[in-house]
Amino acid sequence: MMKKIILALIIVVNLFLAGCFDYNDINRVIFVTAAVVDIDDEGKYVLYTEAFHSFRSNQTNAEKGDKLFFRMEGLTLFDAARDFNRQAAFKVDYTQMKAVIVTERVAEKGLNYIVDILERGQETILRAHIIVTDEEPSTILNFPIKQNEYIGLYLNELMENPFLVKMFRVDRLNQYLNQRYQAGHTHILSNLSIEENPVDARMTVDGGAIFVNDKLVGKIEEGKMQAWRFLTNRVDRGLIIFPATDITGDEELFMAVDTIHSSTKSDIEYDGNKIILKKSMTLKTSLMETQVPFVFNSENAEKIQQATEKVVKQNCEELFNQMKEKNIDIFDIEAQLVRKYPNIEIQDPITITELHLEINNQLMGSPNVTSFK
Amino acid sequence: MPPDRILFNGATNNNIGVIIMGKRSLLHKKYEDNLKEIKKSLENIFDITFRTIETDQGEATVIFIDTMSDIQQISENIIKPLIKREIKGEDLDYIKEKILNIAISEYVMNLQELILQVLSGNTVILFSFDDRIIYCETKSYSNRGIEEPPTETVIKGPREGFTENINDNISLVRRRLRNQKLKLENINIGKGSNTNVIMVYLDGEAPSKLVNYIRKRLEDEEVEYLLDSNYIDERLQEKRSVFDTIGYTEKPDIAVTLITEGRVVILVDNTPFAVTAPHFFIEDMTTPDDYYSNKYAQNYFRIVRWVGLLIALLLPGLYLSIATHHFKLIPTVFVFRLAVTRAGVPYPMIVEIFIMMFFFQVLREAGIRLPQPIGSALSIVGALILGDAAIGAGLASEITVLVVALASISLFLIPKIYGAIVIWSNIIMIFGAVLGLPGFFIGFCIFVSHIAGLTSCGYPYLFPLGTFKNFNFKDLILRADLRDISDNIFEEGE
Repeated sequence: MMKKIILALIIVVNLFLAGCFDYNDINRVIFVTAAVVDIDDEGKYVLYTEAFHSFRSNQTNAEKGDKLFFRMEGLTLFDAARDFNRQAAFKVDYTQMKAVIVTERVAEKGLNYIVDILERGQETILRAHIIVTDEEPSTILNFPIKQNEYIGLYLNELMENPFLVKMFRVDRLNQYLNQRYQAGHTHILSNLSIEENPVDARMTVDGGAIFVNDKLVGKIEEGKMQAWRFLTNRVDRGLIIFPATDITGDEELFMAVDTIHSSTKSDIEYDGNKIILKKSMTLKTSLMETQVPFVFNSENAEKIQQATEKVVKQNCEELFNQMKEKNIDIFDIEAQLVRKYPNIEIQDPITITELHLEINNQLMGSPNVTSFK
Repeated sequence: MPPDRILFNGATNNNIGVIIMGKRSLLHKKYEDNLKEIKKSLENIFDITFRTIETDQGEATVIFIDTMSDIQQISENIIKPLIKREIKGEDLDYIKEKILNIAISEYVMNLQELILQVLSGNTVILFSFDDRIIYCETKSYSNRGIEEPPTETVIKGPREGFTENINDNISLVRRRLRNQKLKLENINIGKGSNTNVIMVYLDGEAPSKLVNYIRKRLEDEEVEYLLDSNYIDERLQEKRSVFDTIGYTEKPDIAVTLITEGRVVILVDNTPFAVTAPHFFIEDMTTPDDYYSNKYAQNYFRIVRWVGLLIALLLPGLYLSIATHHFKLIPTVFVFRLAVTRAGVPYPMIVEIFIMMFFFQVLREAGIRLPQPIGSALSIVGALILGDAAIGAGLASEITVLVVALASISLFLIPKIYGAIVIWSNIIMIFGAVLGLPGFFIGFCIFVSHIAGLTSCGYPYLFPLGTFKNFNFKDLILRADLRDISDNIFEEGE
């Protein structure tokens, strides 16, 4: 009898879950792949979506998939999203939405106004990328990308590019939802822009958009992003370029080392007047390129290590001072303080923080290769 | 009243040994009256012969069916000695033991037995000078030779299979198990057919509880005509289910293996399928080759079969539930592909899958019923053409055809439970279509609870799974060495 009760309970528990889902035939659904959120002059939210639609063509007598665009306005994001069903032949489905792109106008007003439906919606997926753009929605949606037919899928592939993945940033909705509750309420989202060159134009993820309390407060260029990742222990791979001056004496020429491994230990101390942020960085690098020939002996290896440490330290301190000046805590100082000193409350802690940075770089490489002549 | 039971003790024929009679003699004292009564009972049978002969002591009548008896043996060893030899002054025991040149001859005690002996192909002799009646073993009818059974072919291993002749089947078992503890109990079932059913087991190995249980079930069988072993199958099934909780085999080597493991094998006259009991779910996943070929290679193929079972049972339901309720769980590229392939299909996916599964079942049924050379060609050509035509006509999408084909082909890996898995696959599919993944899990839970609730002769059908006891049964998903798995499976290990 007990077994029957347990079986009945298992079945009943499953029945409760069934309320979350409906039967839909997959060919009778329009799948949104990317959404661009903007605000118009009247303050209404404008939602643009790129969607996939399958149909059977009576002209070619074959099944096809096609790209559709929708544009709708609403007082809220969900209001606009619901209105799509007045334009779509089938139900609009958000389960395949890979990217939510927000314009700077929306970011400046605040992501907190749109995040609710993204978080609690039954169909939206938390692994979608959330990206800020300084471009117009129409420019983004009409941009002729060549590596994929759909911008949503292209951005998903781009963000999951094995090389880019190593360069940590907050770019998924679930990461953002966690980060916004952390002390300091500061995070950096990826920035999407269109880069034009004489040969072609490319959509690119370049630099970061700094958010404090869900509002866009500034930008940070890609070069500085590396220093931020070093300081916040969020980098595994990255190229460090430094002048060859200290090794060969050539001021105009450069050398590059690749980060094989990096780790940064962090500690914080508060003495009543100032905060000491201690960062102990360990790097393992490998010489990747030199513009000038040199003898690779232990003396020069030592010099390369020091030059690398010097340039990293310089970049990190420069970024720290820049952010200290702007009073933007992108180094999780407040979060660390709360963890270590939960009873002390300090307003704008970065303004009284000093950075003590120690870098230990170890140049790795093949022991048999001693000369690059 | 239970039917007469004859205990075989070391013999291969079902008509020798101690006869335990349950009925008193119903025969008349007078020769003429007996003959009249027998003729009346056997009237309108064209092939019955009443041969009256004159002995030096008086008249005698030899009765036999000429289509089932060895005429030459009757002439040479029964009629000729009775006519030529001098028997005057001797009693019937002398005739039985010294005159008749027949290996097996006995007295008949009643009319029913007399009729049964005649109808079995034996010869009955009535004497005008003695009240007693003798029967002689003279059965002779054409038999199919011992061939390789088509349902259990092996790459390596014995190729002998049971035939319709129960004596041949007994000898096939005995040859493999020369053991005095091998017991063969004959239970006559069927008032109309009088079919011999032999219960074979190894005394000391088969649990007495099991032997008694099966014996009682067989003795209680009240079927009028027992024509096939499936009657016994159905009699021994404890619950109504699409799963067979009683096994069968056409191979004597398998039957003997099961006997040595402590199980009971039931041989039924006129059928080449031996019934084995108890039968467990895990046995449906094995083939004879598992035990005759390399252990490691066969274990790999066993895993393939288990995966095949999961595909056949779960894949259509899983596909249907995910592709109709949970688009989130499908990679985007595949979602688009699915949507495009289904774009021209006018009805819901559940209908599409049911249509395609029905087509495959039609093809299978047609392939089985047709003669073998045509059947296999039809199956292959039919599957190719039907699948392609269904896609072209917009009745199905490529992916659905692939899923249904994969599930259907996987079913062929587990032929013993083909029908059961087809039905349960459809049940799980319906749950999945209505409730999505929760429905799929509900269907699966019901399936597991159903088979966990089945029993075979008092033993759980999932034996030895689902118990913490350490049984000697080592022949689970992967088989151990043969010497380790040939123990009595019902004993608990250390």
